Amino acid sequence: MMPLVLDALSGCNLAGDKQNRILVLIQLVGGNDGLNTLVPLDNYKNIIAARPNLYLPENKVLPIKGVSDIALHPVMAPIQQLYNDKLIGFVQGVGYENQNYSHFRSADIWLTGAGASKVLYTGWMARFLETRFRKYPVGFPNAQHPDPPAIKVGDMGTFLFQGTAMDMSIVIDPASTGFETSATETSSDTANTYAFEEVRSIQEILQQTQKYSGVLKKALHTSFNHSKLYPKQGENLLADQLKTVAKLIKGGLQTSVYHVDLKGFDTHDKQVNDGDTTKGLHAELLQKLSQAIQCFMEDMHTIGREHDVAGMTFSEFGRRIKSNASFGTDHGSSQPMMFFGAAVKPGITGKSPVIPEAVNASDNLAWQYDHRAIYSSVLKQWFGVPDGVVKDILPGDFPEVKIFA
Amino acid sequence: MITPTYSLEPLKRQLNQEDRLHLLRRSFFGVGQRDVEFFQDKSLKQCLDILLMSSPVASPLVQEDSDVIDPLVPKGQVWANAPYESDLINNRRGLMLKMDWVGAMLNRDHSLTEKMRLFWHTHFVTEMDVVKDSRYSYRYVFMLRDYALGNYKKLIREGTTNIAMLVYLNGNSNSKAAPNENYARELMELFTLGKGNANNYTEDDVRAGARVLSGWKDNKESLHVNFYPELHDTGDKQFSAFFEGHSIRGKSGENGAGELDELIDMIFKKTETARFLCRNLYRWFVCPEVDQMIEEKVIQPLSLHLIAHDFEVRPVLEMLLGSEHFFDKAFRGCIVKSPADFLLGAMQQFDVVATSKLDKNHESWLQYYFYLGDLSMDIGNPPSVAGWPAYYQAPKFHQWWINSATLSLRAKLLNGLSTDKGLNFNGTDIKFDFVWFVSRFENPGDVNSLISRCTELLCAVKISDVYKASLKAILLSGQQSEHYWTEAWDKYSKNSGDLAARSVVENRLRLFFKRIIEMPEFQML
Repeated sequence: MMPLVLDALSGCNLAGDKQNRILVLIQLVGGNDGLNTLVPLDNYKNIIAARPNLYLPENKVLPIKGVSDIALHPVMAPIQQLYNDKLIGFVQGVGYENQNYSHFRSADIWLTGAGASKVLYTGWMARFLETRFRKYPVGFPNAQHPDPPAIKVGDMGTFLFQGTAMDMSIVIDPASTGFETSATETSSDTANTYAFEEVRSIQEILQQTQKYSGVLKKALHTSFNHSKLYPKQGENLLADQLKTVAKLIKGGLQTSVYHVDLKGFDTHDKQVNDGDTTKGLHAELLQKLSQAIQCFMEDMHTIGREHDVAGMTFSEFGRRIKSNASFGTDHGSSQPMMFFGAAVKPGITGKSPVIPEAVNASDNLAWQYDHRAIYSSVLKQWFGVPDGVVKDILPGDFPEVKIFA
Repeated sequence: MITPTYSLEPLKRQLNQEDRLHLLRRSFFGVGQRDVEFFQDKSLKQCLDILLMSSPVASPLVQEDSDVIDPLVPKGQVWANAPYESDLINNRRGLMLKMDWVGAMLNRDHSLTEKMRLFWHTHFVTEMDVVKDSRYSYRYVFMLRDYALGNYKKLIREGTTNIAMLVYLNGNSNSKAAPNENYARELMELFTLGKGNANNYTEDDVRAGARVLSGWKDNKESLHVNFYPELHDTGDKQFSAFFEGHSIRGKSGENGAGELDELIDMIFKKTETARFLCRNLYRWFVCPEVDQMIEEKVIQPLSLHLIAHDFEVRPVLEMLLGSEHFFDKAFRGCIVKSPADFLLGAMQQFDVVATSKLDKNHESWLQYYFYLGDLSMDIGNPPSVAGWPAYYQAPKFHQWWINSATLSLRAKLLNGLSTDKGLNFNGTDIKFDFVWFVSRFENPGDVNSLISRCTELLCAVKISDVYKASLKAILLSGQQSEHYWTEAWDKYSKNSGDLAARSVVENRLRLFFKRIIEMPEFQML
């Protein structure tokens, strides 16, 4: 067990200028099975009946302090430790009305902060960033905002940061060695063709990349004695990404939002191993998730940033209550979200999911909190966004959920 | 407001050079001088006939030289039917499969086959990493090639029980006792009907579809796909009002396998399916924007044409690529090059393929595969069952290929190939020969003509005067007088063995082409 001693009870949990706060969003791609992540033990016989080939043995799940009827998947020991150290908060049952079971549509619903029937073309985080970076990219970077509004660590952009005018993030590949681009000049007179906008978009990316290349290079080349718990590069892609995030934060980057992801959660089959449900594809993923967060938190502690850096996990949906014959589960509905950081309100918000005695293949979990309620709460509590502005970013009436202490 | 002509009538006027390049750029991964010469004097009808020709049947892949020795399959023998043997052998076979595929994209003929094979790959996905068994993936990859310019409905039917697809979307663990919805869902959502329709199929339809598809299994030894009546759900399957309340009568015994054909028939009776395919073809070949007008005036007629021809794809491609609409100036250069268009395209554009630097070393093709992966296009492994986001994710679509990381890498790769050292592709050294490239023009010594010819050939979008001026400044090393370039070129062409003379022009040409390659316009198709 890692000897992490964090001063989580310092009393000034929302310490530091709200402007310095950083949020790291971890997307679990494919649909995470919440029931086998944050395991509800009350009425466990109902889970056993619904998932006879998939349930985790009660004597193998990991207990968490102060809660008797909820436990963690056996591979999540680092999260168990962090939870017991009061650095983790869970919110149960996050979803939305009229669950959509398509990966792509549901992911868009989550990333754009929309309701099931609304199609939005900007990420909810981008809309927030646009309130700080008005008319981006015109006028940026500047003295007040020298760094990119957002950073995506990975090999592809994310809808989360798609703004009205352009992608508000710089994409950094963990294996990246920097940004060498040459200067650009005004483009051609191709007005009245579809090419005009396309070329203009690329132009902007070139220009922005070039504008930020100096600060990014400098930050990426910062020396940092990372946690020794990080695995070798390539063994845990999420850990590689979070390592890059840690480096950029240490390097002094003021970027306030990062997006990273872990792929592979669409466990239609072999979610668990035949004969040992504590192992399998889901276990491997949760192990990687736990290890990556553990390393990242240790790095934040090393550089004294655990109070103003927080993280959250989310997925496009949970999974079906009833398992299938391939030791897997189909697409589901609501799922728990995990928040980590010293400023997070520790504990579990919301009720355990209720599993009825008789479950059929099309039954799904009810939702307790709309994802937009969570987003609104994060914007308000973490970034100090006024209520009126929150409503512009996420139209609708959503109850506030206490996520930060 | 851009208002192109919506007419799908055949183009009336004669093709000019710009038209020809537009058609070829959209049809191939990269257009080389050889292609330009080949299609130079052909009419539109002749061009289309050539583009739509069937490629010869591909010969089966055979074992190549390798560090990994396959005890059961010696060099030169077919491996697709051999036993699995081991993970090591399997991985090597996977690499050979990818190597061959990328090689086929590079050494393509004059047909649309390879472009269409990749189209099917992103619209009817399996991922090699998920399927794992390379012998299975082989059967998927070659199915796509067989059906490249073939019949959409037949492809879907065959793909449904293709051995790789059965594994990929769990068709092989979908049984009466525990239905697995994965394939039924993606069949409707991603491969045929699509999700965007105002009136659409329901969750219950997905479940009913899953029951129809129950009972199939793959066999690792025989490499056959078999139907097991005892695993099949023999109940009747009721579909929603979207499918006119159709019910598929459940059948027991071997006849249960036939329910699947009824399901496909039912899905293809819906015009949404034809429109879905035509929309995807449109985004692939013409433009990512499909507004209401395009939907009504272009997609709809195309879909009727597809239905009238029983889902043969050739007539639709002939109609679309030969139309007034396709040749409207509004669409020139509006598609961002995919990694394949960009990297493999550059190999065509700068004559690497033509000068046969690739032929002898098949392993070098693998390096292309790796670079394409770095650029976000892992051939054989799209990021998800929906394919590459460039082809479906609104509103960015093809912009998806471009971000700060990939843009930098695109520049880095081509710049590397533009140096004296070049880049090593798994044992083959490759570099661009710009002197050779320009030497085939009529008048390389004339700076203005050189700039025009190069930008016309290499850029689908017109370059601004500011850019042209900067290109000129490079060739003239900042001097005003054009004769500096003419003199330098003449000196070289009178004595091509003179290394100093060559280096004078080559250094300038390298900077010249570096500037072109780094322009946003160069990223467009």
